[in-house]
Amino acid sequence: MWQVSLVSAPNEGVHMHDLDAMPARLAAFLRSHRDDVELIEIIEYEPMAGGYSRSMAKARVRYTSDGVSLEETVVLRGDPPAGHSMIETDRDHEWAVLKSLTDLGIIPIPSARYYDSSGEHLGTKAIVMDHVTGGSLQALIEKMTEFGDHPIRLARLWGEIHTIVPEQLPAEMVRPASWEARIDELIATWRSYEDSSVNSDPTWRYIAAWLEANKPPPLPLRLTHGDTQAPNVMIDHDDNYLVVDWEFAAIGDPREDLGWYNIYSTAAGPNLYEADPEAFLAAYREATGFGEVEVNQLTVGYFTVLSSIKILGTISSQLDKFALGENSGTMTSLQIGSISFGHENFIHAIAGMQAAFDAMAVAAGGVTS
Amino acid sequence: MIVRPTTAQLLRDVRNELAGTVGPEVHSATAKVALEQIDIILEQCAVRAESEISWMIEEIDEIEAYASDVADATSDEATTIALAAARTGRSGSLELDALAGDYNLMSEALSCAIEACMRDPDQRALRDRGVEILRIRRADRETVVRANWRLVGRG
Repeated sequence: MWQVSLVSAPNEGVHMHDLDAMPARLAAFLRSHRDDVELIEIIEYEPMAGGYSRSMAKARVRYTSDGVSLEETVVLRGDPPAGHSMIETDRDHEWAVLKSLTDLGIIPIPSARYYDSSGEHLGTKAIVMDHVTGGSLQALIEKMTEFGDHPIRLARLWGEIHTIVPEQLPAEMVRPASWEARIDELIATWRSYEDSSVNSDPTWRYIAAWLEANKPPPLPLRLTHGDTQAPNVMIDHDDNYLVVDWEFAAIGDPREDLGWYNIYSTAAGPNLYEADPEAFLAAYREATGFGEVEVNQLTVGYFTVLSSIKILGTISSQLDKFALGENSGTMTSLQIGSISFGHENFIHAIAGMQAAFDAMAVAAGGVTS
Repeated sequence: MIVRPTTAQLLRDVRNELAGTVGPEVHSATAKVALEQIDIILEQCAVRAESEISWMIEEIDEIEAYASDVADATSDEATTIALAAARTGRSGSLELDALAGDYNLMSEALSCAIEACMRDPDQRALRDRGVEILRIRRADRETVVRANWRLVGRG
């Protein structure tokens, strides 16, 4: 058991999975937020394996005042040790989004409690949030052969996120000047990551050129989660969905999230969209009020390719650092597979969409492009 | 130089040792995930060790012919420059790092050639030929390299 330490220790070498240092640091950090409690003890501290991009841990905390003790479990979410990051994201941004969503109360999320914005207390910038006692949607559906109402519930959940308009979000979040500007920015991102990479990648350059030539009809800009996948949906004991991991949240085209969900779930299924795309999209349209012209299998296909750069780009830059000797780790090495999985799927997706466009052009009496 | 057992055989033997001897002694969830990831990476290294040099050489030659055809058909300046750079910069070495450099230079020529065809609707057939290189030479071979890849430890 660890209690509050009154001695401030240096941060050097401390990270989220440091079992010697972290419990005492966490106790001290919680104490700095809870002067109403006489004693704070960390009675269990355990690294969590599910966090791919960030280091995660959960802690059992005991609060004692006037001889009465209460216990709870909290989750810590911070940056991996320097030079071992699979992707780079900004904890300040994530905290601002989490606080905003906690205050808004529209999207079910585990409440964000505290933030060590400097890393002074927890060794790295880290967020402390409520622990969800159930498992993830991923863990649940992996055991299923029939998915019941989960595809429809998930479509509605993504739709609920996309009802949040930019005016409801923190001022710190970047606001694209227009839908066109957002799409052009994402296309340019494909090119810029490729241009700065140690690897020349003709597939990414082809993707950028194709996306530029085949833009879909626009939709209003909304909050996007940015990493929509079943492991980021927790299910509590009352069977409620809760959305976690908001580090990639942005203001963008809502279909970015549908597209990322599709490609991620193809890589690490089951894919609840693919199970019945029309039913999934009908539920999504009903939740958002968007129309079939804008939200259909072809536009989801387009965004399956387009939106992937947000995460594949940062993975690519970490692999570049690996090649240059500035980063390492099996988690990062494993992501070469993510890049190549994207290559294979995007080439096939574009071929399918191009064939559909060609057929439509022929049917309309035009020529293929 | 002892070349047999091959690098791939040695790597796969390490995989077996990790799975059969080390794995059962590992009990922490995070270490188990790391071990599973290491197993995947070792198999990918084994596949690459077997074939990546011949694959790069084959692709360099194929791209050179393709980019040359595109440059002739379109007179695209970027393709012409990238192709010339790849030809003059080619080391011709079979040392892995030098060959990777040659491969990168010729890949830039492929990018420029496909982009040129995308801009010119009359070059649809050449564009399709370039995309076929991406599919057959890149995507399909990368699928082989991915081997037993999966996103271990998620959720």
